[in-house]
Amino acid sequence: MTDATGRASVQEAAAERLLSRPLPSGYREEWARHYAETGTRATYVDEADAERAARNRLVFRIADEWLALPAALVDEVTDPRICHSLPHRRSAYVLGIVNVRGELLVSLSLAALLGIAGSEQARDARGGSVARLVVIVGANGRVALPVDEVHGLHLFAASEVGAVPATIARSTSAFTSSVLAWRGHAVGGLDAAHLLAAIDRAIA
Amino acid sequence: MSGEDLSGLSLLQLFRAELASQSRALIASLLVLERDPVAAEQLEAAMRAAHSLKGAARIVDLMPAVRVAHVMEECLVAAQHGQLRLRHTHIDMLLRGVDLLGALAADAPTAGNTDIERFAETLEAAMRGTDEPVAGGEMEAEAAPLPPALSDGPQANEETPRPGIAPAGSGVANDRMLHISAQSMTRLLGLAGESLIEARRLRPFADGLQRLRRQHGAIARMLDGIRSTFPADERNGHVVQSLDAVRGALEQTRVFLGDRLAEIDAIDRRSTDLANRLYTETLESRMRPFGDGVQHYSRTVRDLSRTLGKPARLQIIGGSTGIDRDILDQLDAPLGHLLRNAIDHGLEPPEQRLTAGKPAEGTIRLEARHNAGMLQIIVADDGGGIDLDRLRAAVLNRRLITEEAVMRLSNAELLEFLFLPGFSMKPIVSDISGRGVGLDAVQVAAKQVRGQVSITTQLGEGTSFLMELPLTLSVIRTLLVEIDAEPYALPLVGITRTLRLSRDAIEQLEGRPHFEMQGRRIGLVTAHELLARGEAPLEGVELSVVVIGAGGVEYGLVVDRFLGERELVVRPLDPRLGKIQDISAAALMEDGTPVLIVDVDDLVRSADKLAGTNNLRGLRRTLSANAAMRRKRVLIVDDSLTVRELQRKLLDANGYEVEVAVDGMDGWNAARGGTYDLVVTDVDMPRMDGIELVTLIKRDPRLGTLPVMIVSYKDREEDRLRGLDAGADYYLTKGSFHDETLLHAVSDLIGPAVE
Repeated sequence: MTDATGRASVQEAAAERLLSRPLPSGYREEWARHYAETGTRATYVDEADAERAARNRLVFRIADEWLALPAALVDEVTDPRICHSLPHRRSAYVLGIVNVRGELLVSLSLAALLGIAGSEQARDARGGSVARLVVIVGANGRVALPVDEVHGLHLFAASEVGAVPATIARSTSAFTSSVLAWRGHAVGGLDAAHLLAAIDRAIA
Repeated sequence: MSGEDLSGLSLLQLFRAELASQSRALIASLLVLERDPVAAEQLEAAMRAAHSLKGAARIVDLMPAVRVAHVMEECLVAAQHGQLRLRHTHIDMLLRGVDLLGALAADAPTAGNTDIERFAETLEAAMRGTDEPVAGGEMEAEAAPLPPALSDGPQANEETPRPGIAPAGSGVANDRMLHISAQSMTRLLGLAGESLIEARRLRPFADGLQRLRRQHGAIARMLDGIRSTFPADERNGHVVQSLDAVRGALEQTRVFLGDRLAEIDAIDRRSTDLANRLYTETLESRMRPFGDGVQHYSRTVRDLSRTLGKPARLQIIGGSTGIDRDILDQLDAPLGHLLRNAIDHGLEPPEQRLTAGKPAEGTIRLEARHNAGMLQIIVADDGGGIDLDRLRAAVLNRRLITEEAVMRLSNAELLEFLFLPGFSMKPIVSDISGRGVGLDAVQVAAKQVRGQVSITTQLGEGTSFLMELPLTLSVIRTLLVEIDAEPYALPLVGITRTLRLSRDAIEQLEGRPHFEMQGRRIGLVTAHELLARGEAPLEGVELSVVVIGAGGVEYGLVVDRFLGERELVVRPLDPRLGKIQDISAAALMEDGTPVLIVDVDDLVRSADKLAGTNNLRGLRRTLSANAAMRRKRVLIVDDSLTVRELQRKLLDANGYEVEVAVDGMDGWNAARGGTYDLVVTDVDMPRMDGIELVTLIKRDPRLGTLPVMIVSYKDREEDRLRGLDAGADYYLTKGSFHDETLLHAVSDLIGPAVE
């Protein structure tokens, strides 16, 4: 018992020393250079805010397709909720209503809207579901979109944004306005206006 | 509009908002001034309102409005300085000015300049005292000449302050009203509800900690047990000392945990209380003072009484009574109708009133009050009342009912005829002609907000309309049912009754399933079919039936299960969804699960349609297929409600029919009284414990073969043996029924729910 306590205090002291040690020479300069370089490469410093905002995107996955929504569109990302289906609704898009922070939102199948098949429930390392509910906000209100996994927000560099190759006949191409390079994946950049219009049509 | 400068647009909106509040104050003051033209305070208030409006109009560059407000201000200033005595003509013109400003603000470009000029000239002419209106102008101010008693002015009936006009505003003004958008209100309500749900999660968490504490207790006892196995001479040995140290540390942990438990209990109480208050307060903030919403009727009554030549004043009572915003909005039209009715048909002409010994001026009373959980709104006049004999004659004349029957009608029943669409007493009597026309619209409006209207009348003394309405539209009492594994709420007002219908009671009539209820034949429909949720499973010997509809159109709606009665806060659905057939709105249950509120009227219509197309085959087929099917019945005996419910839900969800008993004695009685396929019992229970229950069952000649399963916290081998010795077929430790263990055990013993 005393051994353990002793060991802990030794480690504590070591950590203390490690963290409060003086910075090695050139450390600050190195990081300053690093950030300056990133800035130059992305050239967002002198870019219009709107353009930069357009490259700030929420990266998520449905089945095996990685997609990206403009961050400005995203209201919140939350755990999946119990969905109550709506009677008489034959539309494959509208899944039902969900309770998000006490408000009842329409839950819409982005997979169905984009024509992606085989959406499955993935599990994280501890066996928990990585499925999430992405709440987006448009001019006509909020809507909840279940997705299989959310990576998070990512600011793409201008150089990482490419046009949609005409040769790729992806089912999602109707809503994809760009292809983003991310961790070796080709992420479909969804077009906000196009998507919102389709969502409004799907709900009505 | 969309292409215009946005900043200009918002300015105009600002002006509109200001106009709305200023004109309300202005009208209130003008109405007082009409009775008391020298009331300094009101003159000052009216003048200031006109002045502010002029300034505001100038800022938004609405020059015609500046002109109008300017002349009004001039007029009021003149009155203030005693250069002008305000007469009815002036008040008329000033009120018209307010209207004109409203028109200008609402539709700036099209308001005609000629109107403005004519208005200004007329008012200026009136101020000069040349009471002569501009020739040919539709701005003709003085309507029908008033009877001398009234045009003589306020001195004639100078009584104490008029309760009707000023207090309506001032009584309310103590508490400043805020404008808040419906959307942010919905959001607030949502967040308040969510915080309530979150607060409720603390209790189960605290219960979990309590369990942990009990487990610590068990560990402590185990340690004590180990320690006692050491012989006395080894008590000072190394092992025993370590054991004591562990025991001590454990005790500290227990104390610490106990403190945290007390803390979380306090936090739970406080936050639940807080969340409850927040929620109630948010719900209540939907309320608005009655006076606030009906103040503008003072003007309506005044204008109408001038037009009809029947002096009348509006008396608003209970102006501070809280009323749901939505209800108030929806009552606007019917209230206006009742008020017009009261002046037009209720009040006698002034001469007649004087002859009858009443004051020439009639009083219309608009009163709101809370009574027995309902909101009552009364519109009463002190007019001539309704002649019931003539009403009887009118009813007869229209051949609505036989003469014999009409004589048997009570007064209240007779007055109900006034609510019939198109009913009028016109051909019979002239003095109350038209009474009744449009009253059906009033009744429809009242019903829309789940209320009702009734009439009382006293010949010669007046008529009174009483509207009884729910306090709020946002809370609704419902029956929760399960349809296709999802909860739906049926408003209680739409339900005739609920029953469990035995399959034997179902008959086929013209190929359609029916049953008899109080001598009536009720057609059966499954909710599954109505809501297009596929075919109903229809298990068990009894069906859960909700009888909906009224009159000749009644249906027995077959649902999967009754979940109980709930008060729900009505939440709107996304407007983009449009009207969903058979659904009126949504709500959240205590645990935050969404639930849909059924539109019962819609559902009855849907059932009509379904029956018409003879589409009820689903029910027929499943009925015949399932007739021989029987679900296995399980009796659960446990004194803990939580455990009972947990087990019941688990087994019920898997198709077993479950009954519960609260202790061994209760369980023994149930077991003897019913037929079960399995008994699941706890051990530690008051009155009779589980071991005794098992013993009794196994000794009973008839019940001896009934399988019994013990589910207990006691997990020691000796406990297990004691249970099995008594005759239990299975011994399961609690804590394992969270997973599939209980189900597997049940299935092992008696097989699946339905075979």
